Amino acid sequence: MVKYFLRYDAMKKVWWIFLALFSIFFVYGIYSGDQNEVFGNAVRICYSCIGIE
Amino acid sequence: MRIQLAALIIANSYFLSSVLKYIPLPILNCHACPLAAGACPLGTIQRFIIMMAVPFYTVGFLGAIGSIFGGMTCGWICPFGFLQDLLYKINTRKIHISERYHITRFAVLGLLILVPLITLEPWFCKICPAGTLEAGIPLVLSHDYLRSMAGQLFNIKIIILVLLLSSMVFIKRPFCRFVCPLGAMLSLFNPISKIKLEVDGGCNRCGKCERLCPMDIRIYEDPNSMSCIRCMECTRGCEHIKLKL
Repeated sequence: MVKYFLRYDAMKKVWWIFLALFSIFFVYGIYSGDQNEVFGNAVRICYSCIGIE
Repeated sequence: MRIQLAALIIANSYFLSSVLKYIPLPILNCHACPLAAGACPLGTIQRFIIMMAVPFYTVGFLGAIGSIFGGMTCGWICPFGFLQDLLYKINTRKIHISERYHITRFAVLGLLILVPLITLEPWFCKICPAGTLEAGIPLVLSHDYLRSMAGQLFNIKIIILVLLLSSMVFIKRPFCRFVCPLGAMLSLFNPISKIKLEVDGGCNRCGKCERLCPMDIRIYEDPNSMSCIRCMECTRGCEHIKLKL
């Protein structure tokens, strides 16, 4: 059923609505300072990634 | 192939890390890798879940990329996808697995969100083969104190990596098809993304597209399948499949 819904013509043209919605998320994230948390997490030594308990 | 190689170099250009580590790049490239330039979106999402915060920035960025390109980043710039493409080129007997089993990666995506919520641990990072290859092995080899700390989990990570690398020789992109939660996330956008594939009326269903496709998709059945990584291999081999903007 989802497959048929996604094949509906109007659905094929809504990419820009999703783009707008996620752009709002992105801008709100920047406003909240999420990018600093992302950076802090990325530069920290990640013992999980290395495989150390 | 050249674009994949360029992306691998850029994603691991340490001198760019002061800028790119603010961005969760839509590729599987562990940010604990000594050379990594960008942040890993999976590690970032898990971190926010553990903090009981909504990752608006990361989801917004990935969603915006997905809305335009769908799963295209997997096929063109993902270093782990590139590794799988290279290993599959080794001349040996190959195994074909149906597209219907690709659903397992959506289960992994569900677990990626649920498990950190319960355990408050980045569980996927603990088993991620990209993390083992790019961060675990180089760091453990180069730092004595890390080597002394490596225990059972590190051994399990190595076993998972070896099993996956071996399977990559026989199966087309096994990690992308059955495990990758990032690919699953981006592929949700395939049916609605701006960039799409289109099959014209001249298609006689010869099956050439399925043989060329790294995800074993029958393009003529569903050109915008959620399994598609938009690598465009099918368009190179068949004149009836076209990129639609």
